[in-house]
Amino acid sequence: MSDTARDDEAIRRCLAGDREAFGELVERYKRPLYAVAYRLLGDSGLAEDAVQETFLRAYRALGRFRRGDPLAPWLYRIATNLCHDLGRSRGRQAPGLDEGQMDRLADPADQPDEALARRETQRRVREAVASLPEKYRVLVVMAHQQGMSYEAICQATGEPLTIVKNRLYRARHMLKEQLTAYYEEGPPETAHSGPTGRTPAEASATLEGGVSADL
Amino acid sequence: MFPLTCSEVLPRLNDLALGLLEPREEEQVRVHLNQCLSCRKRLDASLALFTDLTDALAVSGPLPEGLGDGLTDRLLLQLPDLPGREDPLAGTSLARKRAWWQAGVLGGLSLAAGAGLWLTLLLLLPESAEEALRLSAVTLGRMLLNTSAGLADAALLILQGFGLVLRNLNLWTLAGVAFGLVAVELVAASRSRHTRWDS
Repeated sequence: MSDTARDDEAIRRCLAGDREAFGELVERYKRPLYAVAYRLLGDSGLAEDAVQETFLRAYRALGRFRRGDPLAPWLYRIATNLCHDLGRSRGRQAPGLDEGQMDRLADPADQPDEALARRETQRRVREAVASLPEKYRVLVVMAHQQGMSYEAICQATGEPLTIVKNRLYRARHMLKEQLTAYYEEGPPETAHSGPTGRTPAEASATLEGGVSADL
Repeated sequence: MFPLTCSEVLPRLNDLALGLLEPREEEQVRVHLNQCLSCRKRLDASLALFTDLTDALAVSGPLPEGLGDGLTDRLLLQLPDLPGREDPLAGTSLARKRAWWQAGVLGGLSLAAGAGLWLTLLLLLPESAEEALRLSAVTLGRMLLNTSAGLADAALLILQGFGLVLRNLNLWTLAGVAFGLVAVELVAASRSRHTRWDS
């Protein structure tokens, strides 16, 4: 059963009054939603609020969700809009750079200096992403953290394909511009060797936290 | 198959790095890359960036306590027995932005429809057709040359048309026109409220 079909089945049961079915959706999507919210807001407390509010709104609106569409982009759309407002009410446009417990843990195989270089690269890249205007940052997180397809990003943002492609192109260009100096200063070993052990193409196709692969 | 140029290859490098190109297109790009060191360097930069992005943006480790096992139960305590059909973005800034756009579009449509209607009626009135044509031509000319003066003329023209119509048309016709405008607004409003996830 595809992820969309599995979600659709849960939604059907939920609409019929089976509240446990909603629990299945919550369990399936709370981690990827939290990951997106955390990277957009840079604050675990606010991200937690955003995820909870996303599920509350999704339940209250489930009756108008178009059955057969993938659920994840719909949830991301609700979550990213809430993050936008939470970020604004906090009075900051760019997310914080919380280096907290939720950041990717160092690979145990890394040597101490490699781990240090890798953490520094992660910090620089997060800084560069955080400095992007919000409309670009959201797309970068969707594409490179969640590995969402262009089609799924279009559904999640409500923007047409040409706009999504154009903004992603510009966002990546801005990131490259910002990071060129860092790489040229002395590119860390980790930068080109694939610290996650995955190629970008694999990372794009594989989704974190059990999000449906057919997004 | 014509070889691609650098300017044709550059926009495709990101998709190549992500494995998103069609096989035929990928082959064309790779033929170019075999001959172009500059583009190969750019591809390497894309690959490095994407790997680092995936690594830097990943979020692992335990979720906050509030999103732990009891989350569903706590959420359901706040929710009715059955899901509803509310707007999931109600109250968000996006919804407010959408409402302003709707209001703007509706207002613009109404103004355009109203202005068009009065001008049309004005031109159709036999005793004032020549004068109306002259005024319209003058107004159009002034709008092209000087927007603010032209707009003032257009407003004057519409007012004159309003007066003429009031003098020459009966109440039933005016009621029909008003009904038509309301119908146009209602159709526009119902179409713009339709969102892509509505069933």
